[in-house]
This record gives sequence, C-alpha cells and structure tokens, in this order.
Amino acid sequence: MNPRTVVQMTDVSMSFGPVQAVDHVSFTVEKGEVFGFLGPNGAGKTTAIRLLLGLLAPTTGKAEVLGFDTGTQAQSIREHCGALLEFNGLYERLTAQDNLEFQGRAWRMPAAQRQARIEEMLSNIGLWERRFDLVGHWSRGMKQKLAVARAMFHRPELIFLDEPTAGLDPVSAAALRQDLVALAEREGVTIFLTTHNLDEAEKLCHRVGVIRKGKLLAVGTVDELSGKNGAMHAVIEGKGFNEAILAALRAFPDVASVRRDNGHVSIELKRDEVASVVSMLVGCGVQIEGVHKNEASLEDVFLDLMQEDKEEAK
Amino acid sequence: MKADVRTVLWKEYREMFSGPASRDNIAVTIIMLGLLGILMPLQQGVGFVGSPMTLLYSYMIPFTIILNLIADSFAGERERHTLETLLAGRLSDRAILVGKLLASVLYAWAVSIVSLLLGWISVNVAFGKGHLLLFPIWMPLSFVTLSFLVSWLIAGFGVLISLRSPTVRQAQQIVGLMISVPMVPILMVLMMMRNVTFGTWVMTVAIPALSSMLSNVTAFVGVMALVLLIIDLALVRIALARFQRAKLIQG
Repeated sequence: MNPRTVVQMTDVSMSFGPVQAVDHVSFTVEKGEVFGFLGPNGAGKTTAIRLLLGLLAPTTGKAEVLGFDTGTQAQSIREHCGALLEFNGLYERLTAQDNLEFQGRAWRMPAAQRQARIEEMLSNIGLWERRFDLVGHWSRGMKQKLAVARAMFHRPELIFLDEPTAGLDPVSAAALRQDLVALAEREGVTIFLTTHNLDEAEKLCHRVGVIRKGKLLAVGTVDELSGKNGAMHAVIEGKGFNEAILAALRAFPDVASVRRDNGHVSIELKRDEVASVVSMLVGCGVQIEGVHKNEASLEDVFLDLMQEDKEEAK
Repeated sequence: MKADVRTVLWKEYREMFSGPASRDNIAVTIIMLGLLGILMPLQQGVGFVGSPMTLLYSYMIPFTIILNLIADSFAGERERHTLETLLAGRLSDRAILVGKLLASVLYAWAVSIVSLLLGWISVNVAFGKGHLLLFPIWMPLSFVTLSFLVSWLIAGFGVLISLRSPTVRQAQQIVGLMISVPMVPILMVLMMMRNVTFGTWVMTVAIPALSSMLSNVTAFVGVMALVLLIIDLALVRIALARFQRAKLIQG
C-alpha cells in the first residue's frame, strides 16, 4: 500500500442474505483529503463505513485502513480512527463535558490533557458555556456539532462521518459544514464522509465516489467526473417543445440526456455543441427564448450516473 | 484492560447517578435498603444475627436490584442508538463486557453489604437491650462471598439476554422470567404442603435433613460458593463468545 494511502478497498463485496450491500468495490483515499461517498438511501454507504471500521467482515475482497487489515486488525483501526455514525451516539443522560470526558478516558488521555482538550473543542464549536447541560436537552444541530467534536477529540488520523448533516435545517447544516471544515483544517485529519447531499459533497470533498445498490459507479474529483460524464450542460428555454422534438433531440449524436421541466429543456451534451442543437431546434419550429450553458454540476453528474446505471440494469 | 474497565464503570455510574435517571435510582436504592436492611431484619428479630437463614438475603438483594440495571446494559444502548458508536471506539470487547457486568454486580453487592450492616444496627437497636449482638464469624464472610457470586450469576444471565434483545423492556421481561423460574419449585412445595402426607414428609424428613446440612454451614457455603464460581466463570466465557460486534450492530 502506498504510504500516502489511508484507505484501500480492493474488490470488496458484502451481502446480507440475498441483498448485495457492497458489490466488488475498489477505491483508495489519500492522506489529508476529504473523500465523499455519495449515494441515495440504501446505496451501501453505511455498510462501507462499517466494513472499514472492522465492525463487519467482507464476504469477499480485502480492505486496509491506515495500513491495518480490517479483518484481522480491526481493533488497531478503531484505535486510530474517529467516527460519527448514522446516529450521533451521544449519551443524552450525560452532560456535554461528560460525553467528551468518556471519549478522552476511552482513549487513555491523561486528566489534564482531557480537560484542556474539552475546553478547546467546545470553545471551537461555541458550546463551552453549555458544557454542563444534559445533551438530551439540546437541539439536533448542537448535538451533531458535539458528535463531530467527539469524533475528533482524541486526534485521530482518519475520521468517518456518516451523513453528518442529515436531518438538520439548512442553517444548522451550513454552520456544521463550516465547523467541520475549520476543525478538519486545524486538526489535519483525513475525512471519509458519506452523504446524499450533493451540494455538501461539492463544497467539502476533494474527491468523491458515487455508489448505487452497492456498486461504485465512479470515483474522482468533481471536475474529473464532470469531464467523464458530460462536459457541458445547457438549459434551453423556449416555446414549441413537443414529444417528437424531444425524441429528435435524444437521437442527436452529441446529446447525452434530455430532461423537460416547466417549459425549460435541460440537455447534457457530450461535447460543446450547443449551436448545432439550437439550429436543429429552430429548424423544428421551436421558438428559443434563452440558452444558458455551464459545466455539469455534481448534481448533473450524479443524476446521469444514476440514470445510466438504471438503464444498464434494464 | 483495568483502565478500560474503569472507564466503562465510570460511564455506567455517571449515567446511573448523575443524569435524569439518578433520582429514580437513588430512590429505589433507599427503598430497598429500608425494606431489606431495616424492616425485614426487624421482623426476623434476634435470629437475624445468628440464623443461617440470614444468608438468604445474599440471594434476595441481588435478585431485586440487578434486573433493571443488567437489562439496560446492552439493550438500553441499542435502544438509545449509542451501541454502534461504543463498538466503533477503542474499548475492547472484554473491557466493555466486564465493565458493564461489574457495574451491576458491584452496585448490587454494595447494597447487599450495606443492608446487612443496617440490619445488624437495626436489630441491635431494637433487641440489644444494652448488649451488643454479634454475628458469628462465618456469617459476614459467607454473606459477602455469596452475595458477590450470586450478583455475578444474575448479571451474567442478564447480560446474555441483554446482548441480543432489541429493547430494554424485552430484556427485562426475559431476565425477570429467568429469575422467577427458581421460585417455581419453592411455590410448588408450599402448595403441596397443604397435602397432609406431603406436609408430614416435609416436617419429618426434609426440614431435619436441611437443618442437618445447615448445621455445618461453612461446608455448605463453601460448596455453594464453588458451584457459583464455576457457573459465573462459565457465564463470562459464554458472554464473551456471544459478544460479536457484527451481530450486536445488526441486532
């Protein structure tokens, strides 16, 4: 394993009875990067984290985290990692101080170091004044912030965050993302993040992997994925679109996909060929009112990958 | 390992006695101490300090104390969604399991010992008449040993149930049922006592045999302690074998 490689999954599969939760997945995560694992609900993201933490054993294949084998050295992996899993895992009958104290004791930090770290972490996320509150009385956003702080408390080399902003309102989610970026930069950790929030992945992640029904569909930077899955995205507004014209558009060689939405037509182009598409539409009698073109966003890439996979499955 | 067990103990006691559940736990402890440490010894009278029957308290107290605590040990963590995070952490299987077992055992053991002391004080105050009534030396030693081993026995069975129960309530029901099973033969004997022939047999054969056995109390306690120790150690081994993180997470 390359010394800069922190996570390496090689052809890993995991099934629960007839359900294939992870299907021959291979990828690597490098030291210091924020890696996003994207996928809809039930795609296999949480199972992947459980496999990497050695909480589940793969049916086939091999995974290594920080150079430790997940099958035989799971305890060593857990000693060097932090995790915020599907549920925040906070003890709601304890105070914020006690939750972090337990984390510090579990990682055998000396008492003085624990206390200093509690003050540092809670101050960083603006919760120092609330340290003696029972966590059960807190809002969801505050709990998630504390759970992130807990995951980083013992200065792990790698942290796993399973949908850290799920269920938060947009303001709390944005605040948590900000804290997450600040903490990650300050602590210098590698982050493995799962999410189905594409905006979040685009803002936070250096690289992303897209997973659906246990299969890894693509891995790379957002730019790389955009290049691989449709370099150009165009929205054409106008009147006179009908099914025959849309069918003609879909048959056009440079068009990857077409979506119709409230009089707009969104087109994924394989190449920057908007002009030829527009002239074809004008020739068909469409009255063009506006054309907006931009590079494909992660959302476009993601939706295309999901669509392609569905079509292949058919 | 010791430091990790202490860490789990710290967390368990912190949840029991400093959080919102602390008031209930403290109230239950005080009621138990009042009932088993004052009321029942006073009903028993002077016999409390001399009769081998006092050793029965070493069974009764853990039975009544441990049920809720041990049922909550793993099923509670599962129900409150804290189990997976605990399992994803640094603590070893052995530290988590032994820490949770010890939390219940030490608590029940402490309540048992305090009950014995309270009972001794209560009986002396009520029946001492200026003299200090003392336990025979074997009594406190046997009591302390048996109450620890019985606490461990019940906690051991309880933790096996709690490991795989989806909810605390289910764990409580199953552990409660298991604890009630040993009471069935006693109840059956009591009901059969109504039958004259059986009653006569109990009075003329069974009770004298039991008395003769109890006349050598130290030997009886020694054998009991050895049997309990063997079962307790076996339970820990079984619990460790059943402690599989993958199965605990998947429920």
